[in-house]
Amino acid sequence: MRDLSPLAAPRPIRARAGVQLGGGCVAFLLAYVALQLLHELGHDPRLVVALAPIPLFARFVASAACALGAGVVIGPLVRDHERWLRILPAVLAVAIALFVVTIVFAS
Amino acid sequence: MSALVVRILEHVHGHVGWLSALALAHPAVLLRRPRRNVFGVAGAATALVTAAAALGALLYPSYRVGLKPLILASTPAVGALFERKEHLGVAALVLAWTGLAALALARRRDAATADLGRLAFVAYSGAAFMAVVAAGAGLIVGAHRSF
Repeated sequence: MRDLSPLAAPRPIRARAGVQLGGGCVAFLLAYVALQLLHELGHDPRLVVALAPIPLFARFVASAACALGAGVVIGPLVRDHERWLRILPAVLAVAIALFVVTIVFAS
Repeated sequence: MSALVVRILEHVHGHVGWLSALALAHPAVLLRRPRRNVFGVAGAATALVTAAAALGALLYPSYRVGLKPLILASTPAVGALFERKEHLGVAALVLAWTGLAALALARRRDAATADLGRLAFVAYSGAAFMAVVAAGAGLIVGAHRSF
């Protein structure tokens, strides 16, 4: 173990990275669900349509861009990274359930 | 792509897809104890699902042009099943990479290790479930009509 000064606050770098990672994954699933529902309603955003000629690939790229953006933004926005990292597995499980229900029943 | 190459890739995609579905369940089971080091197993499963997804992405344009209209015309339910399988496959890929990245972060033991392990457990469980459903749907569609 490294010798740290007792005054030095521990830097939760991995907790922050974990929150960014998990938050990005949740954002991907939610963005994909939203884009899928818009596609089913016939309201594909023009920006998404312009990304790729095949809708599946365009939706993937757009959702990945949302995930990347959310992951970057979540890092400085969230104060208590350890607390959010404890909550994230449950949030991810809910996002997975929402994704499966949307894909199975609303597409 | 020639018809023969497409047929070969289709078979490889189907087999690798089933292998990856079963492989993704392995880290999910092992991660019931979130502090366990399963990085190697998870890396292999993630590599398999990535290979399956890459082959699927390679085949998808040919499927859209050659097979999709025929399937949707003859049996719309099977066509819809295939479209759902594609979405679940995409999510399985993303969840597998999320799980692997969480395990990479958890390799250095500290206070966040158990929480990162739990995040990886949820990600791999979801990926395994979606991959099994996608592989099953692919089998049904493949048995119905293929290249």
